Amino acid sequence: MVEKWLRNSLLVFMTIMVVNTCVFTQCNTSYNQSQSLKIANYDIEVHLDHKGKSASCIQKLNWKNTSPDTLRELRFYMYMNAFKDLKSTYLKNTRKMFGQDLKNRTKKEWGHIEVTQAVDRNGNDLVQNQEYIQPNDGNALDETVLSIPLEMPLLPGEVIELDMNFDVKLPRTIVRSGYGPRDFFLFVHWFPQVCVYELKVDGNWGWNSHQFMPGTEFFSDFGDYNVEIYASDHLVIGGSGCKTFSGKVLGTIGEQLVRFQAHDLIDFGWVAYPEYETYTSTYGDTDIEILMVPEHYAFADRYLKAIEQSLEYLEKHVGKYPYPKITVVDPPTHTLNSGFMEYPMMITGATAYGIPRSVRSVESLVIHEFTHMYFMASLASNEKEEAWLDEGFVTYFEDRILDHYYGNQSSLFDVLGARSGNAQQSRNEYVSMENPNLGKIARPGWEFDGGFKSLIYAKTATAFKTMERIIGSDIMDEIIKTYFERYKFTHPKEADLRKIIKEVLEKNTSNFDSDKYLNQVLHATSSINFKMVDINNSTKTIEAIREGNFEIGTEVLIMFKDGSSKTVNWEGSEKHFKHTFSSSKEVISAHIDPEQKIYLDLNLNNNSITLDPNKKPLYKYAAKLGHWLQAVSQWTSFMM
Amino acid sequence: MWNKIIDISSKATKQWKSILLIYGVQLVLGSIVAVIAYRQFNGAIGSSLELDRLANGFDRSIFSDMINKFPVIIEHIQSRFALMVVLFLMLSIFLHAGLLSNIRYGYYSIFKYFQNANIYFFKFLKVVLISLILKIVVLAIIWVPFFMLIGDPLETFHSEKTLIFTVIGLVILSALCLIVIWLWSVLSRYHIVDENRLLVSMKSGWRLLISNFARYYIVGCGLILLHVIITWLYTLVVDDWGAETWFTVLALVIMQQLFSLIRIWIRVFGYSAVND
Repeated sequence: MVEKWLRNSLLVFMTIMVVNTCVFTQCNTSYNQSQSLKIANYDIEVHLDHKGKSASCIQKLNWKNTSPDTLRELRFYMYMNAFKDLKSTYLKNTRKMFGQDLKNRTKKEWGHIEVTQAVDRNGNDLVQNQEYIQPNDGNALDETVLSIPLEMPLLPGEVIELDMNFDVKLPRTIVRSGYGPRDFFLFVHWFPQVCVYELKVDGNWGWNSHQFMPGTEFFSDFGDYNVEIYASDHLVIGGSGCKTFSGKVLGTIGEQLVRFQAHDLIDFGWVAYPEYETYTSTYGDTDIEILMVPEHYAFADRYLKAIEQSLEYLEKHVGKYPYPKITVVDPPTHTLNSGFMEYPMMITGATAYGIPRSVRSVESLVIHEFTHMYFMASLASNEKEEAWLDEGFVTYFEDRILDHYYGNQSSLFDVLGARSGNAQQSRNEYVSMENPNLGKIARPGWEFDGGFKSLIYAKTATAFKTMERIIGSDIMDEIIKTYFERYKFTHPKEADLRKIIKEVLEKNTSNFDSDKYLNQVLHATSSINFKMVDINNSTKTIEAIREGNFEIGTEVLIMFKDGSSKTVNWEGSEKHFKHTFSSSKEVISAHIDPEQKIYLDLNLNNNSITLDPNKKPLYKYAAKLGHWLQAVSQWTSFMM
Repeated sequence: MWNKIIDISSKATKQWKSILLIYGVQLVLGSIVAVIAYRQFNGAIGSSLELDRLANGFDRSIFSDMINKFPVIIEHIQSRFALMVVLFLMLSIFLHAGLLSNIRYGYYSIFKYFQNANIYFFKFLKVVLISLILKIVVLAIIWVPFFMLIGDPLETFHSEKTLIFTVIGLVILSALCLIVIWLWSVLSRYHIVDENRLLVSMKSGWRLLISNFARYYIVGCGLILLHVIITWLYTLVVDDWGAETWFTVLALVIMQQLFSLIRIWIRVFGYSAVND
């Protein structure tokens, strides 16, 4: 109790010591600050030791038991311990990551987190009995989940408050979290975070507390965050939430306090780097803050435009952006592996000097990560067990947004006549897999042994695109809007999404069999390749086959020589399609799925046969290759 | 200055038979690759309606599906492409022998072209081999230390700007050095035509290069620059043309071949300028 009093007194003292002429950057406060159940709430005071690459922290946790169970322990994610050494489950089979050799790391380059105190309302320090547990693999050397037994059982509906102290040491950046050269710090998944106590699929309540496993991301409860960061004033600090206070601390030499406040987040991340230049803007009700490294300043407008386009598109097609602000962090090149990631109200991009505007890698990344504010931050599905639920939707919308603003043939790049749309890229990533039947999508991340990105991101996005083309974009939008409105600030599962899909389809009297479709996409390894085999005008037949076990119906467009046409339905269950046409007219071409609705089709080129092919493009590209040979010959003969 | 340029242009143009000969060799090799590519593409997607889509412009899905399904197509075209380039490089020693000797003697006939190409081929081959070795050594001197010292570039450099500008600087330095060697080799070959002795010619070529370094260097750099401009213009003008009609296809081919001819004329212009 004395310690607690001393700590609170110190907090008050420190606050008073901060000068009054501080900078306030309060966000728009008109937004709804009470959108979730606010189960896990954190007040964290951070004292950053930038030389030691570590922080001493005081955390006041307020956690509500919303289950019908009486709890006798709390479980915490201790993600930073995954980077303690190569014995953690996350790294035990990894020797290289992002091109870095991990096995030669010095002790200083590893990170860890340790809870040194956890005092409950009655003054009991619970750390005496804390222990690391390994619910997934039993690896005793893995310390990414901490169990803290409670002195007093926590009854249903009760709230527990814990005053915790913890020390966190950052690793040299491995994956995102960590420190880089020249005082770069990214604190993400850096504090003891309560695992989720949830209603399981079997109807029982229990902890969802997976170790930090390879191929997985994160899952946690919503709550409010008040974070105060004491750090050297040479650092520029940004983070999730709204910066409510920023100023020097009186009585200290070169120390600053930055205070953040955020409501209804599932996590809080922050970044510090001396060289950041801050760009701010507002779009509608949303404040946008971009932290740029100086050599990338020319990209600030590209970041900003991508955020504005995302906001415009997502607010129209999904729902109102649920937060007052977004912070975009541009990682310096020397710590590029801290980029490419999403955190609630904060995303990290990645760029490099000189990327031309016609190569939209920057835009596609920013749009992808920003879309996670809807699918991850707000619709907080379990990224460990059902990664496709957020990454699939995010990639689908990344494709839609990029293609909408930059054209579906050229949204990703358009260089010297070669171009690609973003949705084309997603589809290609899936269909060019060595084995598209590698595994099913709906399974936990740690069960993947290859093909994670191609299946979770690309195949899911392509499957949603296929569904959109079959049922129509208006109905697809209605499904997503309903899903977002009904499940935002909760933890939706596949069953919840399916329920919404069926409901909206029924409302629109669509006969699309969503259960059959999703079962094949998510829970089977089947693929599909329609193939037109033959047009025979003497027997008056056309023949086609469906390779793969994915059953879906489509149409076949038959064109006659006189310019007339006929559309025939092909039921999905038949693998072989034979159609005899009675007309006396001569068939000139036959095209399966002429509108390319079945975007999951592994090869769209063999969907059709024409007896009068247009050979002009073949001549064109052959001539181009011939000419490039002439040019290359001429160039290289300078060496002779 | 302009009179000089016009005079050299006129001399270069008078070599039209040599220009056409070199162009013809390139065209034959280019056509071989074009025919191979056509056959491969036609075999893969020749009866597909997707060709209509391709007629309106590049469509990534069509090419990526084709390559996914028939990866051997690209391997086949790549290997033939590389083979044709190597073949032209070997032939170009012979072609240069005829061309340079014609320019040196002021001959314009094809008969003389072949006659002199035959005479000087092996000596020119030796110059080419020596200059190739020199080029490799210079490139190694420039790049090996860079790769040895750089380590992980993202860790070594505070900003990628430093890395990018370092690489650009080294590329320019390499090009400048290669131009010197190339000029030396051309001047040496002119001396071979005069003196017929390899080492003496190379020595004379070097002396001549040093004595008029700025003038020769401007010609060498100008020649490279013109090639860059021509390639840029090509991509700007015709690279995105569609294949909507036979006329656009034909226009594309004619335009491509004009670019090829201009490139060779520029080279002959450069050689004439060095000779003058």
